[in-house]
Amino acid sequence: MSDNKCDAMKNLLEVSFALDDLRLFLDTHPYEKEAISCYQLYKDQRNKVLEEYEQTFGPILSYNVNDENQWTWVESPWPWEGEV
Amino acid sequence: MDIYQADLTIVPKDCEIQGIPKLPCDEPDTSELSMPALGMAYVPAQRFRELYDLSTGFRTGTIFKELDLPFYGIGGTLL
Repeated sequence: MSDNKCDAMKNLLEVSFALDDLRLFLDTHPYEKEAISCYQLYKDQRNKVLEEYEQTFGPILSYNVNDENQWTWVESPWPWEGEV
Repeated sequence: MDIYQADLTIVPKDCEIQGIPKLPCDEPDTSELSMPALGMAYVPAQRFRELYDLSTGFRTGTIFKELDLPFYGIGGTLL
């Protein structure tokens, strides 16, 4: 995996993890306004990072394959193919 | 060593097993320490503060600095 791709994936995983952890907090503190706005902030950030990743490197989930001329899901390497 | 007599209805006849050894944990512990007085547990509610940045949180396994605690237990025992 190229450095760029690796960094982009790392950014996505980091912000996704923060959202997972915030969700656990909010499950027990559903009225904590500061945490809710933090969740919103990271959620927007994740959407942005995900969009950037998918535009550059292709869809992460097949649900996100865009309406194009060909099925882009199979264009990037499969996980077991290792290096790009 | 004390043993429990083997249950010969489930052990094959040609098996030499006499039984299984009795272990200390098989005896009900009736010492005073095993029956402490009832207590009430109190866990303070976590507050929303001191967040790690995204990268540190990811590496640490929590974004909450307060929950970044040392764990020494390994393999079901304390070292």
